[in-house]
Amino acid sequence: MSANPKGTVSTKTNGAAKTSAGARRGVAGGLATWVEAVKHDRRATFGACVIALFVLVAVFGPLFVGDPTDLVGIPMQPPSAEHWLGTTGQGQDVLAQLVVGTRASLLIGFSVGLIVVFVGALIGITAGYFGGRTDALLSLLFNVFLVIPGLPLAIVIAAYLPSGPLTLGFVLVVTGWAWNARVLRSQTLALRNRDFVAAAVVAGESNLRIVTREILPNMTSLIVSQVIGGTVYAIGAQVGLEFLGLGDVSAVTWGTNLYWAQNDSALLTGAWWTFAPTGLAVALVGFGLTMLNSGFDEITNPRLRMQRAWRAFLLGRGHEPSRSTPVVREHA
Amino acid sequence: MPEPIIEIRDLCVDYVTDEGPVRAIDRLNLVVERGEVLGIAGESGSGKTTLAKALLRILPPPAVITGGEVLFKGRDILSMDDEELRRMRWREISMVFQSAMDALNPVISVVGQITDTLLAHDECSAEEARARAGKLLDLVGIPRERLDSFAHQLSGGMRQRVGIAIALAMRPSVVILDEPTTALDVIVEREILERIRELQREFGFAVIFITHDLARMLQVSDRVAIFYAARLAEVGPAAELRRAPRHPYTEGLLQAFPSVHPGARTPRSIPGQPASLLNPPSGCRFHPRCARAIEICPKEEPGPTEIGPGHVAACHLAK
Amino acid sequence: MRYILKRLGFYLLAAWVAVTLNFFLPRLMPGDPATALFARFRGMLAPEAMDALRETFGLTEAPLLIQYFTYLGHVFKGDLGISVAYFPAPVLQVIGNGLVWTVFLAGTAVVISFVVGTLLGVTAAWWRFGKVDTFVPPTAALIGAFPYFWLAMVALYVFGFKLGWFPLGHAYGDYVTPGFNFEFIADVARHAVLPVGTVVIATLGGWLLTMRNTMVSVLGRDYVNLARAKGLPPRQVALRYAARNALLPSVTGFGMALGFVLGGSLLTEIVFSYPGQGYLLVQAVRSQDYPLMQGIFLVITLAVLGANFIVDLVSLWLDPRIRESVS
Repeated sequence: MSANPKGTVSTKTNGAAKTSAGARRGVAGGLATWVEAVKHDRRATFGACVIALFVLVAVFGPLFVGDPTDLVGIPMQPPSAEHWLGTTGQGQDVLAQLVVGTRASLLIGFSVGLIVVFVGALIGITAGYFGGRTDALLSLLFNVFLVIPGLPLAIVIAAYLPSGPLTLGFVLVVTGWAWNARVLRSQTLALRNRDFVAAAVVAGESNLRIVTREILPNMTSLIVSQVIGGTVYAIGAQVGLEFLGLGDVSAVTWGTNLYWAQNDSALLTGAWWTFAPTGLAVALVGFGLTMLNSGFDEITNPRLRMQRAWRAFLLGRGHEPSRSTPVVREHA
Repeated sequence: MPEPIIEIRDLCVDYVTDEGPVRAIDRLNLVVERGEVLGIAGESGSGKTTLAKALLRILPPPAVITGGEVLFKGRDILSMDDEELRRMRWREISMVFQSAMDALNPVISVVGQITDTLLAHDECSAEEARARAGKLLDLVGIPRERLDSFAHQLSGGMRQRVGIAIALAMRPSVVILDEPTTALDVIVEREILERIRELQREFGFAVIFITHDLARMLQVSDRVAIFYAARLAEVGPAAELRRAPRHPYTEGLLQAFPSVHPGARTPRSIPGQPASLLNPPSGCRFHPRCARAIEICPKEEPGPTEIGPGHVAACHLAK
Repeated sequence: MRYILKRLGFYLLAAWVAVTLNFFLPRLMPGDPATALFARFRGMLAPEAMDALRETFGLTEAPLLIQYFTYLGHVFKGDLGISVAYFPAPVLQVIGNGLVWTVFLAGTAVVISFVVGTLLGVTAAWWRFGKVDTFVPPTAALIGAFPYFWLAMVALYVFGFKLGWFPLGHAYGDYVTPGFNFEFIADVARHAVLPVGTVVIATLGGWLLTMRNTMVSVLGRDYVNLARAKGLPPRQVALRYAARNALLPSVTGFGMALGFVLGGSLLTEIVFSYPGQGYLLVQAVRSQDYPLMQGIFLVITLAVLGANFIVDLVSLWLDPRIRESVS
């Protein structure tokens, strides 16, 4: 029999205690907390709406706009009734490029977000679970990858491989997994020392079973928030690499849109509409994901919640929160 | 005739939660007399540490003091503003925290944590402050070479001694000891308690000694107060409580410790779980665990009953 | 000191990994590396340049291990090969010209951003739920979501192109003579305002949020409560007790964030045609100047490792526990 893990695990990264559900309800519990966060936290609601909107655009948007590579008008035209966001330096429709670019950029963003966490989890959990030499070696590996600057490494790797989405995804994973491994290692280490894991070890359960049944379910919320963080990273880094011309410059993505804007000297001709919408889209998606994450953090962090309740209690009785314990004489 | 230094009247402290406030101290009446050792005992969650921090007004959120008065030398601590509190703290009431490891700043040396206190309250030069810090270490039996040590370089016992030295820095009239010896072994614990007792006789400050170890407390205290589920169950002279406890909970606590009557009885723990503060039992909060509960206990809250001089119990059976 | 030696060993190892990556990357290309590489340049490069390329990568007939040691020897001597784009200038010389500007730009930006962000974080946490805490963190998070180089483009468009307050690019104008004179320094400062400002704005939020969150949790610790109980003035409680301790994780994170910030700074250089490594990097990518690209990677990595080591020394000074913890 395995013990039923209940209680809180503190994460070293943000100092917040995350409530974990029981082992078997782990994944469902994690998702339920997310649904709750989206329902009750303004920031999470906002984030979820933004992301949903962009996903809709990515899926259905291309059906409503023309071919983004078509030369449809005079180059560098400001927004007009015909071309809502104007035309590029080549005479293509900016709106069509933005909408079609959303699909490729989000696809790479979300897949890379998932893969970096997968690789990070594989290495981090192995290191934290087995400890000893395995841990020493794997920790050394991710620590080295953490100090080697990511962008130059990504550029060097990408330059040698055939340009395209696969190469892009590959370099983003190579330069992005180490942080996740580091965080998941310390989390695994903390769980490894908990009673219910010790009980499972004594009961002779297999390592794989302990990891999948006892450890992973207790990290659901952390992993989900890492996937979100990984996606933010992947979208930003992808746009940066493509801006440098390391993607497939003939494809239509957010990054190549900006690459062409820079290449066509959009700035020096004052054609703000060729770079402003794409940047806003990148930022909105990133901000939406971040808000989703921090709203979730708020729901799962009992200390934060209590402090809010405390503040509301005081304000509701006409008192300002103070450093010294406040005195509200309710019972004279 | 003993004269009170702190008078607590109807003190209420609440912790605010999502589901509403939870009462952690409920209408507490208690007096601390000049120069005495007052012991406070009770299970964890009974409100002991909450009281200690409430006296200094350093209870962190989500705590709110919701009623009563705390008169220190006749002045109400609960009506003081931040600056008045700052001047009262440490000069009048100081405290030794539960875990010295957490209470000492890891990146400031021992001497730094003593002198900043001295400099904050007194006008004295840095050299003077350092010399006074050295004298404080002498008092608690730590060699002066340790002045420039950091917390992680000291043993658990030494850290707690440093905590005591800091507490004595301003020669306060009340020192609160919040389970000062829980993390220590028995021998170190005895040494430290004896040292505190000696210092207390020498300087004449009052001590509020908080612990869940009733046996130890009865040895060192003049008077003892027993808390149960945010309320005062019984208070009285230590010798009397030991000999003739009047609250069944006090009795239960005494029986739970073998050292009080060596060889006489095997220790017996009190049956049942400590009362929940979220949803406390009706009437007397101890009634679900009380072997002698009668019909009235779940219905009516027992008021304080004076049994003898300074001996009060909140129990229907004590009347 | 053990700690210093241990960290030094780690950075040497990291440097070795970077050099080794550099050696094997060209050989990762699909097919036979030498043929593939030269096929790409056939017709574009003079025969001497081709020889230089071969020499740089040690792509000879010798066994891989011999090639590897030859390569290590070259790197050790500071020979990073010959640049293709700037033929026949040695890579190290090309990089050297731009390194000062990159270090100046990224260094200034990181220091300003760290100091301002950390102070704002302390302010937000100390006056919890106050005005700063309510408005600044979300704003910083929003700005932080924009790509650095995009913010650079907007800054350049608004303040350079539209308003004409600042120059449109480069590190200094043609009209000043480089040297230690007031005109030159003033001109460099004027040219640096937009690129430095962009990187500062883009990275501020990270430091702010880290510091705020750590500080909030430190404020709940017993040693801060004791400081309050001791009757210390609020300023001392906030700075000497809370902020000083909350700073430690930020400083540790500083080293790791450095590489990331540098990446953003390189992209910003490109927008402003700032003559640093980022600008060179783009030149290298566009002209497929592999020796230069790899040289830049190596030099930047070494610079980041060096900066990390300095950060380690700072945390050693800030935190007495580190001095003994490594045993």
